[in-house]
This record gives sequence, C-alpha cells and structure tokens, in this order.
Amino acid sequence: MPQINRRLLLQGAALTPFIFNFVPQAFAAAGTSANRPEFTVAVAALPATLEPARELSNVGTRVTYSIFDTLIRRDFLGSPDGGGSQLKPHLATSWERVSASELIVKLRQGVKFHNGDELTAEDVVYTFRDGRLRGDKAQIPGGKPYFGILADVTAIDPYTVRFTTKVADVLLEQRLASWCSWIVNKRAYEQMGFDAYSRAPVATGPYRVVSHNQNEATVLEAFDDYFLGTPTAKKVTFRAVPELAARVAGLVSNEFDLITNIPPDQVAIIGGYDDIDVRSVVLANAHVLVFDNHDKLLSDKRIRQALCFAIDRQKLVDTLWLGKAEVPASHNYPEYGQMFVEGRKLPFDPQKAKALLAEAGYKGEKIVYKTQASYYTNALEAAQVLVEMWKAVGINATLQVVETSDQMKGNGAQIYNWSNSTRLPDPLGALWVAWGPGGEVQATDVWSPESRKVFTELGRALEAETDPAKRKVLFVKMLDAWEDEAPGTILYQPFEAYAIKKSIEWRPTTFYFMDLRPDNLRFPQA
Amino acid sequence: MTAHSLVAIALRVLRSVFTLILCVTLVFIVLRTAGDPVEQLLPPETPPSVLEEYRVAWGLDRPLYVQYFSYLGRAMTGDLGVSFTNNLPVSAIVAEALPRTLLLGVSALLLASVLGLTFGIIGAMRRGGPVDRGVMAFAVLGYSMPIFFLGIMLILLFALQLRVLPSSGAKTWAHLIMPTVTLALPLAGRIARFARTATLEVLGKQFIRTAHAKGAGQIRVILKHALPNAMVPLLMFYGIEIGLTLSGAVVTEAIFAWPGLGRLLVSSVSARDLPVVQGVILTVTLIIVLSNLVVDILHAFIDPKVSLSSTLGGTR
Repeated sequence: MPQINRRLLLQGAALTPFIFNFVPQAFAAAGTSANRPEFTVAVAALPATLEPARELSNVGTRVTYSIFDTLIRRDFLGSPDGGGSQLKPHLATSWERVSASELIVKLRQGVKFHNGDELTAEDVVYTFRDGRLRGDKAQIPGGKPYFGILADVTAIDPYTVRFTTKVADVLLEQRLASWCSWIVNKRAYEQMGFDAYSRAPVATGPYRVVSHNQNEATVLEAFDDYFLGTPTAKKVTFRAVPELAARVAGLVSNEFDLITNIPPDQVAIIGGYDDIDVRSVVLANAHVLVFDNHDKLLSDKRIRQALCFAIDRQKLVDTLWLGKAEVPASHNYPEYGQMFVEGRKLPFDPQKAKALLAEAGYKGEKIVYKTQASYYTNALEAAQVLVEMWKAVGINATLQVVETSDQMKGNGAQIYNWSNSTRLPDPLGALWVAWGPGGEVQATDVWSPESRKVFTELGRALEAETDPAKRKVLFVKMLDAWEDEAPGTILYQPFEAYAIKKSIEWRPTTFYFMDLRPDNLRFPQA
Repeated sequence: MTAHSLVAIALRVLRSVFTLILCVTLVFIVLRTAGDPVEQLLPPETPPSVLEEYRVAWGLDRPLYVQYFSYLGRAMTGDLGVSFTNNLPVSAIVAEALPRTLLLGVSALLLASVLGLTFGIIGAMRRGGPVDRGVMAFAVLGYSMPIFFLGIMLILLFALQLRVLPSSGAKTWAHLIMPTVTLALPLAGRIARFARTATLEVLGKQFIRTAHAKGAGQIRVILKHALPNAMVPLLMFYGIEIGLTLSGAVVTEAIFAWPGLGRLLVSSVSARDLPVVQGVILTVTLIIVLSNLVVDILHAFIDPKVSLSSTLGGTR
C-alpha cells in the first residue's frame, strides 16, 4: 500500500487542476485570440428556438439580439435611462418616405452573413415575405401585429427595397426597428428549412451560433466580419440556471460574468460584494389591473374610477421596488418623443374615491381580485397592499390567488393582473395594441362596447392620421377617454436588475434586449 | 424457467402496460384541464386572433376526446408528438435528456448505497451504543432534510464560500458532485435505517450463531452470511426508492441546472409544452414500472424460498 507523504500530496495538488478541467481555460486565456475574454451570462431560462420572431419574449430576445440585426436600429443607449427612441441607420444606411404608405430603404453594402453571403435586397424581401410574418398562412402568426399591415415588399435593385403598407402607417420605420424585424439569410433559411433554421440561424449579428440547448446553454462565438467592428468577447455563453442562489454563487465565484433576473429584495445583498455591480433599468412595460365590465358592480364606471383613485402607486414603488420602479404619467411614456404628454399623472385621491363610491350607491358588496402568485414579480405582495388600500376607502375587496392565467381571467374575476409593453415608442405601439380592438380586453368584451366606443373611434382616427400635431391631440383625447372609462389602471413600471462584474462596461436597455455589440460590451485591459 | 413463470411475467407486463395507459390518461386529462397552453406560451398582449391560429396549429381546437385518442394512437407506435415550442420530436428531446438523469440517478443510488449500507450495518453491529445513535442521527438528518434546502446549502458552502465546486451545469464531472450528494443523502438516510433493521433481524438468526460458533470472524459473518440475507428486503426497498429518486431528481436538476429529465419537466410544465410534459412523464413511469419488474424477477432469483410466479403476483 502506498504511503501518503508530502511528495505524494504535492503531486496530487499539481494534478488537481487537470482533474477539475481548469487547465484548458487557463491556456485559452493565453492563446491566440487571447486578448478577448469569454463572456458567460447566467439566465433564468433560455428560449426554445433562436428564430427571433418566434421568440418574442424577454427570454428569447435577450439571446437573439446578439445574433441578428435589423435594418434600422433603435438607439436605446442614446438616452441615459437606456430607453432612447431615436432611429439610427443599421443594415440600412438610409430610408426615405415616398408617401404615407411607402418607404424606400437603402441597404449597407458589404455586410456579411455568418455563412459568408453578402446581404442583399433579396434577403430583406425574403424576411418580410407573405407567409413568414404575415399572410393567412404565416409561419409565425405572432408577426402579424407588427407586419400584417404590409401590402408588398419588393427589391428595386440589389441594395434598395420598397416597403408598401395597406394603409398609411406612420410607424413603419419603428416597426423595422422592432423586435420582430430581424433580417434572415434567404439561402440558409431555404436550405435548412424553418425548424432547422430556428435552431441554428444564420444572420449578420456580432455573434454566430455554435450550439443551442434550451435546458443547458446557448453558445455563440465572435463573428469577426461583423460590420460594426470586431466583437469584444471571443465567445458568449448564455447558461440556463433557474435557481437564483446558483446564479449568484456562480457570479461570485467567477463562473459567470453577468446574471439576470435579480429580484428587488436581493439587490442590496448581491450589490454588497466588492467586485459586483447591480445595474437596473426601468422597463418599457407596465404592470396593470383590468376591471371586468361583465360584472354588474364594475359595469358602473364610478366604482372603477374609485378603485383607481384609491391606489397610492408611489407607496407600492417605494416599499416593494426600493423606489427603483417608476409610476408613469398614465399610459404615456417619455419614449414617445413628441407624442409624450407632459404634466399628466395618475392621481391618488382617497377622498374622491369615497365620494365616487357614495355617488354610485356602493354598499360594501364583495369585489374579487384574482392574481397569480409569481407570474409577475411582486404581484402577490402588491395585491395584498392593494386590497388594504381599497379597504381603506371602504371597498370590500378580497384576494384570490390562482394558478393559471385562465383561472385569473375566467368566471368570477372582477379584477385581475396584466402587463402592457411599449412594443413601439408610440401610443399605437402600446396603449392601442393592448386596449384597442386587436387586444384581448376588447375581443372578450371585458371592456364593454358602449364604454370603449369613444376610445376606439379616437384610436382609429390616430391610426389614419399622419400630422404630428393632430396625432398628439387625438392621443390626449384617447388618454382622457381611457382614464375616464377606467377599464383598468396602471400600477407602475417595474425594473429589471442585472448583476455583473464591476470591471465590465455594459449598460442595460429598457426593453428586454441584451446589447453585447462592440460599442456596449468592454472588458478591462489585461 | 417454468411455464408458470412465463405466464407470471406476461401477466406482469400486461399490468405494466395498463399502468402506463392509466398514467398517460390521467396526465392528459390533468394537463388539458389545467389551463390554455397557448395563453401561457405567448406574450400577455398577443391578439386573440393570433392565439386562435396557434390553437388550430397545435390541434387544441379539437374536442378533448379526439385529441386523446389521436395522442394514444400515436403513442402506441412510439410517436410522442412534437414540442409546441420548437417543433422537435418529443422522443428526441427526451432521449437527449434521459442519459443525464440516468447518470445522476445511478451515481446517487451508488453513493447512497455505499453510505447507507455502511452506516446501517455499523449501526446494527454497535446496536444501542453511541456509534449506533450517531449513525441513526445522521440517517434522520439525511432523510428529513428537504432536497431543496440541502442543495442550496451545498451551493452556498462549496461554490460561494469555499469556491471548490461549480455551482451549476453539467460540463465536467465536478459538476456532478453536488447534485449527486444532494440526491443521495436523503436516500442514504433511508437505506441506513432499513439496512440496520434488516441486518439486526438477520443477526438474530440461528445460522449467524452457527457461523460464529464455527469460528468465523465478525467481518466474514457480516459480509458472507448476514448481508446476502439482509439484501432480500433491501432489494424490494430499492424498487420503491427508484421512483422516489427520480422524483427527487426533478428538484435537484432544477437547483443545479442539470439538463436532465427533471429539468426538462419543470421547464416544459412552466411553458405548458404539453407534448413534452406527457413524454417525460411517460418515460419516467416506464422506468419505474420496468425497474419494479426487474426487482421482482431478481427477488425470485435471490431468494430460493420465493418462486417467480408468487413475486409477480401470478398463479403458483
């Protein structure tokens, strides 16, 4: 039997790194592409596929943003809060409005796809063809809210494309910068087929796909021919780590460089590590309540208004969100640019709530508020506080926690949770998408036809209007109608927090994109 | 093998098939009545017309009984359908995750067996003494500690504080250590208690006294005479524990991001990817049914007093 002595122990210690597979990484750092580190992001979940238009969610777009490019780029980081809405040339060098329903786009020349093909108008036409994002047999029906409006997309020459819409559309440029407008490679898409392409897409983005497994990791490698410059990381790995403790432990022990989905109550703890920074951003999304008009009690708008007036939104933000979430100025956001209405606010007025209840003859009938416990961050906590706020003005509210969205919105629901994202920085890309005729509250008559009539007429007028001043007037009237009829109300805009190694330069954006392009991801010099 | 034995095996296989069909039916009904998967899969503001298009594409607009018989018919031929989320065949998705779960499960069973049997036998040999009490305290601690808590504690200690083990993933064998220990410790506790009782029972038998009288040493008596006899009840115990280990793997894999069947089950349940959920549950049921069948057959071979037909519940 071998004797354990000092020499044996030292030999064992020397072998340990090999056993733990540490050596390859150590050598990699000194290799040829040495000066570029690998970047590992631990996320709570990964998308099922990498077809960006199929994965219109925070989980999906976080990854696909590094693989794909759009014709026009929304400059989120042009604003200090990460919510800029200026449009910048990207795969397109310029665009010109020929009419209210026609746009000519000039493509950047010399842009390469990951397979070496050059980007041409054919790829753009293929991306927006009838049958992919639009049309009766669209492969991706989720694309219709964005591009169902297109009548035709044609190539004028190899670097020029004409977009024509069915009706006047002031938002077409914004649509082309949205999360549904990533340009795909025609040759790869046709050769691989829809499903195979969805698993290993070929595009023009700064990183190309090495492998993807939804339950394990998505591995990307730098695409050095990227038209905006050489990517700063040699390899980017998105690891699926659902458990927060494991994500935090991995970040602290240097397994990961960045972790997502930090809940508000963990921000201070994680931010307490010397080498870790918590970077948060207020999302272009609002948590809202819906008041069901089918209900006899809530069909009286005074009761609905009273529910709105009784909510101290700032208190919710301060207590549940550490003051880092935001109470918006109604369904009205600064990223709308010139359409943003200054000076509006959602009032907190308990006396007015009491007066409205008295006027409506409310006699303490029970009002049921249904919520899922954890679909939305802090939903349950906020619900408990809301019930108390309503009780304080005399509303007999009760909370029911349910499992599924069906149960929440099903029979017996009087109030339930929802969220509204600002998909495009314009009222038509937010308020109208959610509360207009294409949205579920109108389709299910949760907002009754008589109550929504004025709002809908104004919205249709806004869709057809192209004059900025008139559009703003219409929007103000829409907001008035929405607040007065109170089919629901906004609570707050939540924040999304990321924890990252302090030495790494990176900024989050208000949308769910994770921008790892060379201008937003920089590592300290070795 | 006698004709009786063959009949018994055939009957048992039939019972297993019935169990599988029952399980598939129950899971199908529960999943289909637990909410609309389309609403769960798509973003909250997706227009109702788009939701309806997805319902039609996935066959969810058809009556429930049509969906059920269509699924059952395809499942009989090995076609478990395709995932709602990525259109991949469910069988391929399950086949990709299964080896990882088997690796974790087998590792945990081996570790738990080594720890549990060792402590159980030591406890029996030192019955009533401080060693026995210490061993039993370990056993109680092992099986009463929730897997979720244990897993997090291990991460905090070995990944966060000591930084000697990776916190999650399945890249190297080092990634296997914490999930294995998490899954094995509760099982080891249960095995230790069971092994102690079984060994104590055997140690009181006459043949053990005879072995001692013939001059056999304590180790030899335990290994050669006591352990093989104690294995009979232990084997049956393992049959039950395989199911518990697999259910424990669901939690363990979620904590450590181990990309096996448990992790797949959790992610597909939260995404309401019904075909995948059904495929995973069918596979897990199949493993449990098969392992119990194997245990029953092994029981008859190990214990000469028991016939194959009696262990399988057939006729003598």
